[in-house]
Amino acid sequence: MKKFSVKRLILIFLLLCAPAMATTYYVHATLGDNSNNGSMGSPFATSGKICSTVVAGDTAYYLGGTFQESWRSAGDVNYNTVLAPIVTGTEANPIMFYADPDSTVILRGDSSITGATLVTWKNCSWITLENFEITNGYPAGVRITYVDNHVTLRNLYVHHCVAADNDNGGGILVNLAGGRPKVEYLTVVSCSLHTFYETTYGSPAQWNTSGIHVYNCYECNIDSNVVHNVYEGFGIRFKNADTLSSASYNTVFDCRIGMGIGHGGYNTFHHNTIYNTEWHGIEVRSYNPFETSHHALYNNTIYRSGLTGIRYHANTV
Amino acid sequence: MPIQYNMDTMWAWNNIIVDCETEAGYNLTDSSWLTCFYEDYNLIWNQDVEATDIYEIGDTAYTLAEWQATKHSFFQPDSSHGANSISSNPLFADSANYDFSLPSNSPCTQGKDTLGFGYIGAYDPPASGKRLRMYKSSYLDDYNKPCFYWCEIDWKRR
Repeated sequence: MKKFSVKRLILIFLLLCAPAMATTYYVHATLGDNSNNGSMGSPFATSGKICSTVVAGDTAYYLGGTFQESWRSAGDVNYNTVLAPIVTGTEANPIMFYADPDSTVILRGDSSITGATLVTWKNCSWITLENFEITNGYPAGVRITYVDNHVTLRNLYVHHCVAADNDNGGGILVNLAGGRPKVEYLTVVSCSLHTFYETTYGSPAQWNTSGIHVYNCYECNIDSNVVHNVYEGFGIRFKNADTLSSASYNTVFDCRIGMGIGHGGYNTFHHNTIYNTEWHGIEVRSYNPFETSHHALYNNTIYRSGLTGIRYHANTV
Repeated sequence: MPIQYNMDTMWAWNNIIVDCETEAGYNLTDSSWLTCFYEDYNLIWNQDVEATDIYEIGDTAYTLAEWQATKHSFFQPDSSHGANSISSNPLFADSANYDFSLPSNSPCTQGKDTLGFGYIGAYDPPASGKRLRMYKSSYLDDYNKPCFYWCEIDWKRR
């Protein structure tokens, strides 16, 4: 009987202990087929297929095409979502959703369908979304709900989304509800966002639409983005974003209010450039029933605000 | 009686605010709800409209000189503010085309603030700029200490 050498036994032991191999799956909207195996030469056809295939450590690589689909069942929280991970990544095995930078990959919603949001995540952490064009969302392009930590959104082009009157809508919405755990360690970097509005101009709330709306977060960084043409709303808005969240090196223009902080604490806006706002460049506000404290605004440049450059305001009830 | 929800410990430092069209550069809509407001090393300038109306508290407008001379208990430190703020043309490179670069002769580049954030505006390149990091310190619950100490500066690059 042939004996195993010690070296060979160690090799076998290491192989048995090794984590599962990370896999890259590919999808192409026009050249793929969901009966394929998802390899580069044999890609899937739909976002739903690749989303339901990847596990922790994998990469979902979008090769090209326009994805306009609703792949999750009605009644699900992610109803009418084009891209939604169904498993979470981990620190050691993050999940990557990556669009080929040399192709055009569009996630396109149907703004006639109530509840449609192009990218919706819930309870999925350690995930990166990069290089996608996202358009025609209702009420938003990207929506991250609760317990989504260590999420990175990089180099996204999000535009033309519409929300119902007085509903929260816009480009990227994070955790828009009270009573939820904080979203922690979110990064939005080098994204371009524009043209967000409510169905009826002049509806009563008038400022629920935002380019980037961060609610109830911890250590979130909104960095080096360009946001413009947010009708009746904020370019970048922190609300109850507590604590240690920052928005820096962003360029914001042609919005009702450039950037806003509403209650919460310990946030910084710095090195932002804001111009041509209908109302204020930056507004810091306390909202019923919350106080707000410890915010720093520094090294910002504000040019041609319709009303005030920097406004501090406490709501009265 | 109306209830207002307070703000405390607000920093406004090294900002450039130019050409606010109908109201002020800085506006505090009221002051009764505010404690601890740090404001300095800002440039506020209007070239088209009322050049004197650059600060407001409620409906009261102040010039820079009036603002600097006004004492309020909520201004920190020592009820003073804006001692190093200026009101003059920042000399943007080409504001008509939204190029807000600052030339070396801009008044924004004539003096750094004392906290080390750099020059007014974004003159300092990002790599050399210090970052103010707000965080909850142990002072937060100690109301016997001056509010200046309720936030601290973390010089660590982020």
